[in-house]
Amino acid sequence: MENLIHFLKKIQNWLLFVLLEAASIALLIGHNNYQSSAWISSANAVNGKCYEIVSGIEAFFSLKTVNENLTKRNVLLEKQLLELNAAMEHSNIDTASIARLANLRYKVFPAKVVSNSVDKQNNLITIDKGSVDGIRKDMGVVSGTGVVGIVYLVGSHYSVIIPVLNHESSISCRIRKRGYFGYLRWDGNDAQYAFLEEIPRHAHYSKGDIVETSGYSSVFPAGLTVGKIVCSFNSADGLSYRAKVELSTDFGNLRDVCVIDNSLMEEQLEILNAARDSLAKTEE
Amino acid sequence: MFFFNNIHLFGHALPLVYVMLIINMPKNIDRWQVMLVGFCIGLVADSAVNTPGIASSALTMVAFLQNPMLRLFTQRANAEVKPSIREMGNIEYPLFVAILLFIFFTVYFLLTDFTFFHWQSLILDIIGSSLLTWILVLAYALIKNK
Repeated sequence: MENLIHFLKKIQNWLLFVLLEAASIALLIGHNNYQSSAWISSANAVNGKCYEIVSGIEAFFSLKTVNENLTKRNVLLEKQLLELNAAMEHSNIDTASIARLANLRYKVFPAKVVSNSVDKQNNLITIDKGSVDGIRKDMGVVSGTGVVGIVYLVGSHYSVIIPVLNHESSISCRIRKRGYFGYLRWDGNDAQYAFLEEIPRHAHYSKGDIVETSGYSSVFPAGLTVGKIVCSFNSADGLSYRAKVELSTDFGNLRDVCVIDNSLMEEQLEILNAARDSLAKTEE
Repeated sequence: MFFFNNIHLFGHALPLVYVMLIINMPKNIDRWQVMLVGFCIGLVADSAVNTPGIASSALTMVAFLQNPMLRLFTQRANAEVKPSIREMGNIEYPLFVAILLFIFFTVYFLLTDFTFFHWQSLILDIIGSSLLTWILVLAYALIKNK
């Protein structure tokens, strides 16, 4: 008996080793029987809590994606709101126009800004979508908060945008609810402000009025927010007004944008022009 | 643990620094104690990544071999040796750590894969993870040494 105890003591390490390894292998093989081993899994309370904390941290870093989706959603909702508003305005006069407005759908491509500047005279923005994604020249670009610019160069996977903050940029705009038109240009100074030029002398508007896209070109649908009028001057030649507009888009902090494919509207404009031409010809 | 399990460098290197706890066990602690501690740490590590048995098995193996390995690398009869660069030397300690890590990851990935079918990937996993963990363990040892 003493010999046995002595022997066991001698090999106790080996015994324990074999025992523990056997237990490990049993766990490994018995893992299929999940109910019995749930306590040594991520389902137990301690691990669950830890993973919750980790996922909380991860969620923080994925806020970028969440933000992107929200921007997209915002643009979509704004679009719907505009359509509904327009439909309501016309519904009293002409119910057929609602059907026409329903056709004025445009496609929206979400994109990410990969390079951007606000401190140059002619700023350009690069986005991560190109011709492969359906982007074409002269498409409008908006952010969740307002107009950004117009697509200028299209590569296969990237595109260059001329933003409002560029001397080349000139976007046809109007003053919301007042209907006066002008062109939005930038003077190269402050990235926060642009100028609405060539507003007619007879126009009545006031500080705080919203400037929106006119929809006169096929680039932007009508009614997208551009900014807010801060103050007004006479133009250099004295023939029109020039309003300083606080841009609603924060160009310095631009991450997610949406490119607008307005090709349907383009088609409609073409038809409209064709109709005008043929009318003019018959008048001759 | 939650942090390191998310790191999977180059798709092959998994730094599992908890092995260090067993590797650095002092010489005077009984082998059976080291083994029990190793098994328990392994179990906790397993429970976090839903692989019961894998880390506990590998870590028990390391715990079983740690003491004889330590004896091999320390010539002195001093019983109170705690594995470190200062106690063991600039070459001995890194080598000691490397061998134990290699054993750990060999068992770990063999049990994870349970097959030799993807042997190239298996070898990369073992070597990559051993190397990365080795660097981290040595970095820790150097910082502690100062």
